[in-house]
Amino acid sequence: MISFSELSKHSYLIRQYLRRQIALRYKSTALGVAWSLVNPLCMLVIYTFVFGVIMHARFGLGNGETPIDYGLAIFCSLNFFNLCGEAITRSPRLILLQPNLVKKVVFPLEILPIVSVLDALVHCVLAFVPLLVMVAIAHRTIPWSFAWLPCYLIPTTFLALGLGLFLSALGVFIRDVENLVAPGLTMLLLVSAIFYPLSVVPDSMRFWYSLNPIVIIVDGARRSLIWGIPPNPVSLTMVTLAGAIFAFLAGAFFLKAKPAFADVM
Amino acid sequence: MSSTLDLQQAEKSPVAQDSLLVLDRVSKSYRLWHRPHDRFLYGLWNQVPPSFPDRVRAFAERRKAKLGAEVFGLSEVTLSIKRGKSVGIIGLNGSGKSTLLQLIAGVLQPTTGDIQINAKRVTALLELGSGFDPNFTGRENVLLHGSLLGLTEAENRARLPEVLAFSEIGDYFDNPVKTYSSGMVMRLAFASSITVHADLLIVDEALSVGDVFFQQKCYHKIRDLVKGGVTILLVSHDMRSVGEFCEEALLLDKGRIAFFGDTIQAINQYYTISRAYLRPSPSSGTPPKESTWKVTSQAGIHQLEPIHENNRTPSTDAAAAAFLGFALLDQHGVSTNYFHQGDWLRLIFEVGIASDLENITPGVILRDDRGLFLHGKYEFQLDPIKLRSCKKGDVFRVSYAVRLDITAGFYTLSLAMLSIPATVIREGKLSFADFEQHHMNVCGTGPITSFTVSFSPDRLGSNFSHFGTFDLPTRFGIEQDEFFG
Repeated sequence: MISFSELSKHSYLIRQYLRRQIALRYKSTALGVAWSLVNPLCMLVIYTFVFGVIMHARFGLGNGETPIDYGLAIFCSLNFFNLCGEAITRSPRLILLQPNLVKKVVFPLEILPIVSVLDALVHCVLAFVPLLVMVAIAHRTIPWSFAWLPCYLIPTTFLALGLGLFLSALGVFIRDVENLVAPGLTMLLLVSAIFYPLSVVPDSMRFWYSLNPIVIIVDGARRSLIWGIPPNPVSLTMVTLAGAIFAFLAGAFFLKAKPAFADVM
Repeated sequence: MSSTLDLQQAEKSPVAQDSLLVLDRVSKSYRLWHRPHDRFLYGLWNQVPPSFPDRVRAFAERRKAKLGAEVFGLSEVTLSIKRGKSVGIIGLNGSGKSTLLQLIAGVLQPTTGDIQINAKRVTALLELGSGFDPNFTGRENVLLHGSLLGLTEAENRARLPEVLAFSEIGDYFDNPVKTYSSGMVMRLAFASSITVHADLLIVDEALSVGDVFFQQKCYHKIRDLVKGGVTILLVSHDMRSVGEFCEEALLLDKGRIAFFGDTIQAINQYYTISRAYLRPSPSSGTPPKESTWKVTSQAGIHQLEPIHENNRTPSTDAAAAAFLGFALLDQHGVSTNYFHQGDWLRLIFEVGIASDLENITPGVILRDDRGLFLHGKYEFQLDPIKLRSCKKGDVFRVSYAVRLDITAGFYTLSLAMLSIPATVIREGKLSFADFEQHHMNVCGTGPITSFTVSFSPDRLGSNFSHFGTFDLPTRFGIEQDEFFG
């Protein structure tokens, strides 16, 4: 099945590709790495203005919740969501864009989705820096709650890895996947309770929401990071385990499908 | 205890200790998938375990059969290659050479059968540089390549100076590969591939690129590697390089092994196979319309093969003369297409004359397998100059003979007829300038037949008479120094 010793053997390749991919993102732009700070800040302002000020939306979790809190919560939720979202949008074409690596050389293709997810992870982590600063300014304290960040990042990364491995292998054979991801992603965004608290979801739908691991992650994460409510260890463990199993199965699926890639490209 | 186990292991496996590469009934079939996701469905139906009821399995088989037409690229190839051998893989287009290499390189998976490689490291020069990422620098690509092949970081860095020196790309080494010329990419890829200490090197006509000096450098390097005990698989259409490089050759025909063994025998068989394919099929195209000319059957002991009028120039019946038929014979007058170096080849061809002609001269043109003009000779070029005159309605046969002091290979013959005004021949002499200015083409043909020349088994000493295309009259001796001797 998935051999982790194989992966560690390719650690040099993964490092090199990751380094290159990160460099490519900002190479030949004037602001360089600053973009990963400027972008989130702009979004933060927009969320705060539109949802917090104009629509008066509130999560209703802390005392005296301000429009800024609402913007910070959405920003935090979206950061987690985007890690999976990037895996979903990039993966279907990931292998198809590298016909040489499939047909001309023997290449451990599994590192392509892995590198893609690690790249997204790096940018996700970077985007938490402005969030941390904004929370510190808004609450006028050092937000120790950010120590819980890894608890939520780990299951999200597992989910993204699983999605990346599964969709990149599937995309080689089923070209329709590419057309499905855009509307699929929008639907997922809207049902993942990013822009509204879980408390406004009707009771009859709660069960279905609880099946969505992203809901568990984003809801827990904004409670913990913005409002300092400790994570629920049971649901967090469940979601981490489920993510790990999903990533493992997706990896097995990828390796099973890999020998057939060259037949259809 | 462990030694008994080892023995059992050795008995079980048919692999001899010194075999580097063993293929056991390896087949690769391609399916022409109607849509890419048919391949996915095929894989799903393939998961039906053998323990399932027959009815279910039969259903799965039927579903699989509907998903695409099966085409065999390679069937039942069984092969064992010893360590340190250099083996050529030859065959016509579509015979499965590249498929075989890709299977051995691990890029493709066999449909059935088993491939065993007892090599520490295999490198394939399949398409040089195709694995490079254009956004990385040359140095990074070389390091990535080495890492892919399992080199440790220390080994990987240690080979960089050698790569840099061999590839001759200098300062470009630290520029992205996308800024390279195609020749630089190729040189870098070659240099990278030969410095990874592989024990099996797969070369797929990769060396036909780059300038001639770099090619020679590459061949030198490969020769050194062979001396150093590296096993080489060379796929090529160039029989000269196969003959020069390989101790053994594998001939593939329609995805099967046609011959495996001695290189020269394999090359000869290759030409035999290619000859069978080159013959135009008589059923192709529209049936030839009744020609004005018929090959005469009454005269001569040799049965002539007719020359189709589509192969004649000019092809209309209005031509003043036409070549009608020919026979290709060996020095004993036996019809053949197969010769040895140094043999005499005889060609008899028949000419029909449609209007009175004066001062004509027939000729024969020899071309190699690439269509390169090698040799052309007309009757007038023999001494003394002889031109013929013919009456309308004449049919005559010309006999031509040539000694094949040429390299082993595959050749074609064409016919031509010229007329030269008698006035330009002064005192029995004809200058090239006068010939160029005054000769006229009467008629000709495209290639009418092909033949093979192979190394002579009867020759004393080496069975190859020379290097290069033609054998020139040559003498060697020791020059005596008269003053100091």
